[in-house]
Amino acid sequence: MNACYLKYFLLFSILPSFAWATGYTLQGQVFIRGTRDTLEGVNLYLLPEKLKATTDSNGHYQFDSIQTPHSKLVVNFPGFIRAEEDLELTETSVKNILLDRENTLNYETTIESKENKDTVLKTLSQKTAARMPGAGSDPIRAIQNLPGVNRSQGFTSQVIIQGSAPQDTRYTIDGHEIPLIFHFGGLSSVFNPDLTESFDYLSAGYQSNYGRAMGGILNLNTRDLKVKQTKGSAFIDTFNSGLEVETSLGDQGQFAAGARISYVGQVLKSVLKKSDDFSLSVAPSYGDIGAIYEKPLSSRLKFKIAMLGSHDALEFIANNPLGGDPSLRGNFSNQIGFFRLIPEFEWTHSGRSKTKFSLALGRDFINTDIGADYFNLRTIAATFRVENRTRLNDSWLLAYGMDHRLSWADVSFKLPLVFSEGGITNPLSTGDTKVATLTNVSSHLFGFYLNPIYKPSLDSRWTFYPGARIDYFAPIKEIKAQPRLGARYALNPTLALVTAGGLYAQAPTEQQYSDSYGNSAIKSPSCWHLKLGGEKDLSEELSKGSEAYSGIFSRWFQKLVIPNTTTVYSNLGEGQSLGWENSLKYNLEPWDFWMSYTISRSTRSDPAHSSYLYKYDQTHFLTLIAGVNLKRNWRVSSRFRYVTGPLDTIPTGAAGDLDHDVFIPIRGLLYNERLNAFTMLDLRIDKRWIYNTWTLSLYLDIQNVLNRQNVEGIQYAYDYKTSESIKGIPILPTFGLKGEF
Amino acid sequence: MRALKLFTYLVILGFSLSACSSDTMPRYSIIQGLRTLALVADSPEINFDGTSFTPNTVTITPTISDLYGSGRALSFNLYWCLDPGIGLGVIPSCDGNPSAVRDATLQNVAITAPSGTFSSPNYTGSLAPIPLNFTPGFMGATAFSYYTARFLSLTSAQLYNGYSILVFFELYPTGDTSQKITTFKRIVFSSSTKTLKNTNPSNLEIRRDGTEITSLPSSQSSLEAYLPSSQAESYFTQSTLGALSTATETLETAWFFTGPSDISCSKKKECTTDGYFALARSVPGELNLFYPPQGSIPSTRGRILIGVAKDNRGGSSVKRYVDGTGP
Repeated sequence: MNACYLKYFLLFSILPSFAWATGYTLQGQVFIRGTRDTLEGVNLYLLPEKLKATTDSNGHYQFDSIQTPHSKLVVNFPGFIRAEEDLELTETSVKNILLDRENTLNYETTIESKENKDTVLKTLSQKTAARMPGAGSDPIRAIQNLPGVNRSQGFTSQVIIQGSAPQDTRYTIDGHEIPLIFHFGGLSSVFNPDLTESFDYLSAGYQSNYGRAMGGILNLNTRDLKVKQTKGSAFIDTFNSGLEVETSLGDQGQFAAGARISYVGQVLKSVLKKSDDFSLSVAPSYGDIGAIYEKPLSSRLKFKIAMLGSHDALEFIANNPLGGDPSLRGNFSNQIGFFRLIPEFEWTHSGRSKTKFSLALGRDFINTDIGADYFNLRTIAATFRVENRTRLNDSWLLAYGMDHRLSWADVSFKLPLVFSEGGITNPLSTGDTKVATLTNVSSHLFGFYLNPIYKPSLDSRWTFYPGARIDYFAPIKEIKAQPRLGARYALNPTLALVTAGGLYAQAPTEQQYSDSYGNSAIKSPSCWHLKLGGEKDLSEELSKGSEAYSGIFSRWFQKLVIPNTTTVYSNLGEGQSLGWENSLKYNLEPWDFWMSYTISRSTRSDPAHSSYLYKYDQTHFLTLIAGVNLKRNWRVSSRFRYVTGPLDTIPTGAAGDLDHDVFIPIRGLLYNERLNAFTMLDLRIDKRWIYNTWTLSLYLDIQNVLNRQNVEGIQYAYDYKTSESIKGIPILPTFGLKGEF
Repeated sequence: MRALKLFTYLVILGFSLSACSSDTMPRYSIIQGLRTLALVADSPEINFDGTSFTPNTVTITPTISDLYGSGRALSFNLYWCLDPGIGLGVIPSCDGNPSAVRDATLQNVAITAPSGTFSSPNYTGSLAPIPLNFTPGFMGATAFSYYTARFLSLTSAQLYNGYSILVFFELYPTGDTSQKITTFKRIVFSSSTKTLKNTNPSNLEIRRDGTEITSLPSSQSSLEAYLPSSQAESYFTQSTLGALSTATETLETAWFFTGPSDISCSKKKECTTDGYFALARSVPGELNLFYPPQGSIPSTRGRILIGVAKDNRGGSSVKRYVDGTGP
């Protein structure tokens, strides 16, 4: 009996155990609300049984053997709002979870500076920079907020770095040079923001993997695609509209493409007053397309190809001579376009060595008609980069590579020599006219660099960046060796001192060394850089993501190409710029603050003029940005800028050239007049509606919200006896709507 | 990229004209103050063989205005020198230029009213032709030697295409050089291998509906600066390799018209006294819209329209029309 009882006991004891083992199951996926993106590594808890599950790479989770049908599911994942849900389980329940981001509108204006990266590299991510006030939702326009970037005057869109000239900045996409970064008027950059990952800003002291730019580099990084399902977005704003789609092709890789088109011309036409003098015959327009395709060819070989095409067109009729110059009358048209196809292979040889090879092939064209004058250019461009990075041992990371640019151009022009000095341009009709038709003009530039990183020991506080670059400028047959050196000293894990410097040379421009237009004896201008600074991560002291930077820079320019009244151009210019840059980023939820302040001085000199303040000298440049995240995905942010006024040269007289009906200015001391300081307040309001599988965003970006009449320059009457101010942009609201699915 | 930079500059200029300009800046084509409107050389291109010019006398006829000067006395200086390189950006001046010729007879010369064209109440018109003597005896042997030296330094192509002598004309109220207006024109010298020298375009007529005007229209009208097509001369240029290529002059007319005394009110409809023209320059066949004044026209002086016909090689001629009181 005892044995019999024992059997029953065991039977009834085990049965419930089987019931437990075969109880309820719960499975599903965890998504980010509004995006359909799944989340990996999310821990889910089921109460009261305290069961735990973790999502896999596809966001899947599963609970088995649940005994209690009345359960509570709790999901807690950093960066997302905690989710709780009471469930009434069936035997096989399915429950998808949508997690809300803690803050969908907060921008992380991160400045990265890590040991294995360039000591002067500053990277701004697309998603965050595009939401900065005043950027008009274009991330590259946010670069104006970085310390050391001078404000470009008026309606121009140049990026001027630390007192250099605009032409000293080189624009690249994935490291490959492109002819321009902004469309007409600087309203929009040439590459679709939705295909942009981030952009890099390299200023004084950048390392030798880049070159041919005395000022610095602005590099746009295309996205690394992480597409799991088809997604897309479409937007419309005051000046342009566009769309972007991306999809996974399974084993065949991933693909994304986007296009934008502007209607800025129609907007301009509506605001320009009717005039006898000027009419837009073809409204300015621009458009661009971009695409990215990625595929891992093997576990060690990754392939990516990016494509970019850009086109700008404008045509207008000047019934009366522009600026009183009779040669500037009639039809004016300009078309500029380019495309690039950029295949890239990244080959990981081992855990210690990696080689990246990329090529950019494309064409550029410019067609410009200026009254009776013209300039037509067709260029085949090929840029080529290859870099190997090998970890030799714990101390040495060796990087070396090549950075070439080959181009073949057909060019025809009939253009006057334009003499411009002190910011005043002589009437075009008084310049000697040059006419030429040239075919297959090559202007190849070759660059080789060594860019190692040395850390004496794993626990050493020092990291050194010795480097060298050799450029060969084939059109002028000049080899330029450029030593560079950087160092970082980590005082503690959050505070580092950095220094960098070296020699930076760039090729003179085609028209400067052209036999037909300029002076074939022109050599490359160059510049010595020095930077000293300190970086502090304030995450512990203040809040996560807070950081500060302070540093000084100095540049010494030599052999600058300047206009010459005998040889058209000469290398007799010299200059210097010196400055102190500061930036502070401070996050205090729901607030975030950004401050940058630069005090600087930039001078130039040449045999005809002793040292004078350079056109782009801006003593003080202060940018303050504050943003607050409000409930229901509202965000309000604002930017205030104060910049010392622009410099101008005051003419002391003028002589009338009655053969051409113009007056030729006689300049006083160069840039001897400081105009009023520039101040501007911008305001931006963002709102996001997040639905389960898609998101709708709206923004209103108002530049110059106080409608301040900033003086951008001086416009003179025909005889230079009277003048009036040229005012900057008035209040300029930009309204945009974007849907993402 | 230079063309791009230039184009950007022009776009800004264009938009500033269209969107930002306040119409308060004086305009080149509107006569309001002391002005030199034209300098016409009877021979805009002369021959030079290194030792002598042919012709060796060229007359310059200035067209000037002192519309609101109340008849004050005016004077002028006239001098010339070799072009120091204006096309490359050199300041247009003869100061310090050893080829400069400043003869005392052409300095501080009082302007007298010739044949009624420059007198009260308009003070707008052409002066008597001023002879320039291009002989070594007048210019001085030292200055002349620089012309010879320049001749010898030029290539045959440069000599064929011509080199400029700048003739400066300084106009000022007598005794007050602070208001001096400095203008210049080029007289081109070229080698004898260039047998067809440039001549001035002539027979300019301001027409309305195909007929030369005798008075200004009282309503908005289209006018034309007519030049016979024969006035556009054909000419040759020589390349550095010696090849000749042919071209035809492009003719254009600069329009000058009297305006209000308020210099900041040159073109505003509400304050113009004389009316105004839409275009400052026109090509043959191009119509120029005339806007009559909204109020009454000046009663104490005439309204003066001056057309200056120009070829693109330095040749020019002047036609003057007066509507209303005064010569």
